Amino acid sequence: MKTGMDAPFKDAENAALFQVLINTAVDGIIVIDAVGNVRLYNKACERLLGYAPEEVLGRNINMLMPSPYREQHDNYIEAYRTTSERKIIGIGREVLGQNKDGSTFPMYLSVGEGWLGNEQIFIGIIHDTTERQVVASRLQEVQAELAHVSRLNEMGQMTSALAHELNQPLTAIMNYLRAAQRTVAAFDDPAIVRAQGMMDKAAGQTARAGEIIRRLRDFVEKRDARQSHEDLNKTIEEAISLALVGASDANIKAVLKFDQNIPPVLMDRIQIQQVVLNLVRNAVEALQEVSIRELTIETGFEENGYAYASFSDTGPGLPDEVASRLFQPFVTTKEKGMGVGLSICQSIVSGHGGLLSATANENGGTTFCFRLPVIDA
Amino acid sequence: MKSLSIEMIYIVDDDDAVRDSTRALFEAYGLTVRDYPSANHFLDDDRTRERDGLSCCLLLDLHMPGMSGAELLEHLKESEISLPTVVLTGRADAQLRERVMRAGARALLEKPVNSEDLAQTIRQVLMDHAAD
Ligand SMILES: Nc1ncnc2c1ncn2[C@@H]1O[C@H](COP(=O)(O)OP(=O)(O)OP(=O)(O)O)[C@@H](O)[C@H]1O
Ligand SMILES: [Mg+2]
Repeated sequence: MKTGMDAPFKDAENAALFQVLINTAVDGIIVIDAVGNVRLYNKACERLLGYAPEEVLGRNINMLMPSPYREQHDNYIEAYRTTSERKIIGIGREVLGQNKDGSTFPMYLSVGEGWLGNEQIFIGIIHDTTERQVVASRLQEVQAELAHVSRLNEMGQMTSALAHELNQPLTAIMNYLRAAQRTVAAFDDPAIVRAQGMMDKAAGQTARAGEIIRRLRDFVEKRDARQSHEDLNKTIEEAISLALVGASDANIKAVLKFDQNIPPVLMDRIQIQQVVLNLVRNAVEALQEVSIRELTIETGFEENGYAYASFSDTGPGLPDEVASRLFQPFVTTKEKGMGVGLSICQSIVSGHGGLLSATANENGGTTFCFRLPVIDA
Repeated sequence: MKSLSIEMIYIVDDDDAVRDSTRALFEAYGLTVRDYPSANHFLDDDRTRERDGLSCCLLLDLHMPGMSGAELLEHLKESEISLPTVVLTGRADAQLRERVMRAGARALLEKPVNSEDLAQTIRQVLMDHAAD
């Protein structure tokens, strides 16, 4: 530790300062010699790696790495010393470390090179990224799942809804054609006979359109049909945690009042989570417009064999212009809304033999509630 | 659709075109048709009581606002009204079929239904009903 004449510290102070720096650093600092033996091991390392200094000093640094790095590290040093080709020195990268208890953890390792007199040394600085990684990877997972769930289901549900809507006019067309044929059946005028033939063909094409819709729907629904007995509370809880991603800074207080004695409910879990997701998202969006932002989610079980979940917000209530057409598709008051959220909820819930309702609540907000029949396993 | 030995058809469906076209179809075959846009309209119609002694059949849509088709079926069952019923719906999976049959329907058909299938089903339903 040589310093120039005008350095702010004296030699003795420098030595003390060195100790303070090394031991107060939040990041781990390790110095090794040219063959990989540990020469310096600071306090932060003890915390990160679990070993005491006396267990590490003088031993090969590879004890702090998981396989296969452990076996290869000596070669790394050797290769660098013969080729001077920099793989990590001066660059730094994300690597895995191994704690004394055998667990591995991700860390950001930067390595520098130096000389003590004419002895070559390497200095490693270890930054623990566990915390950051866990949060980041969980967030990524959640977002991927969210996107997956919504896209698949919105597609599936829209196809089902569309199929249902189209089947009505197709049914009517078919009926009118057959009725018309019957009405003129008693006449054997050649023109009528020709018209009969055309109506037959029209009926055939109507049947074909119905068949296409049926196939499309089968295709979408085959993948989605996964009914099983599920814990309603758990199902809802998972969906809420998804729905509230990114809503944390929206300043919304979520209150859960779960009844712990609800029997398992036969459901397609992903679909019911889609319902929860849409209802919570709507509530979160509605709450942006008010200053008291509370969402109460309650579950329960009714004597008549229905389990229910209600979502009560302290938002502005339903706009008059949508209230009567709430569950129809493409009804929205939002600039970026598609207006399909609630129609999807409605079709999922009724597909489960349940009921979805919306009522004004005493806080001026809206309460959405869905009920699902509990069918014995 | 020939030889349908039936005198009266009730249709309950909230879709105007489906209702009107079904009426047209059966009237073309000389049957008397009564149609209703909702389950409640059906229940409120006193004339439905005239049917005693007539051979009649109910064509019922499942998805309707207000009282659903399934609820109407359950209501009829509770009131011990036995009316042979064919349920028509956009989607008919095994689970729904079971639920509807348990509620008292005789048959379940998927829309769009072709008229031959419908006639065949009605014939079967009336035969089953007579056999009970
Ligand atoms: N909790 C609520 N409070 C007040 N209004 C609501 C609430 N939930 C829904 N609405 C109203 O109902 C409309 C329809 O909701 P829906 O979820 O079907 O569509 P959207 O939210 O507008 O769009 P999308 O869900 O397709 O993105 C909304 O635009 C809004 O006006
Ligand atoms: Mg929405």
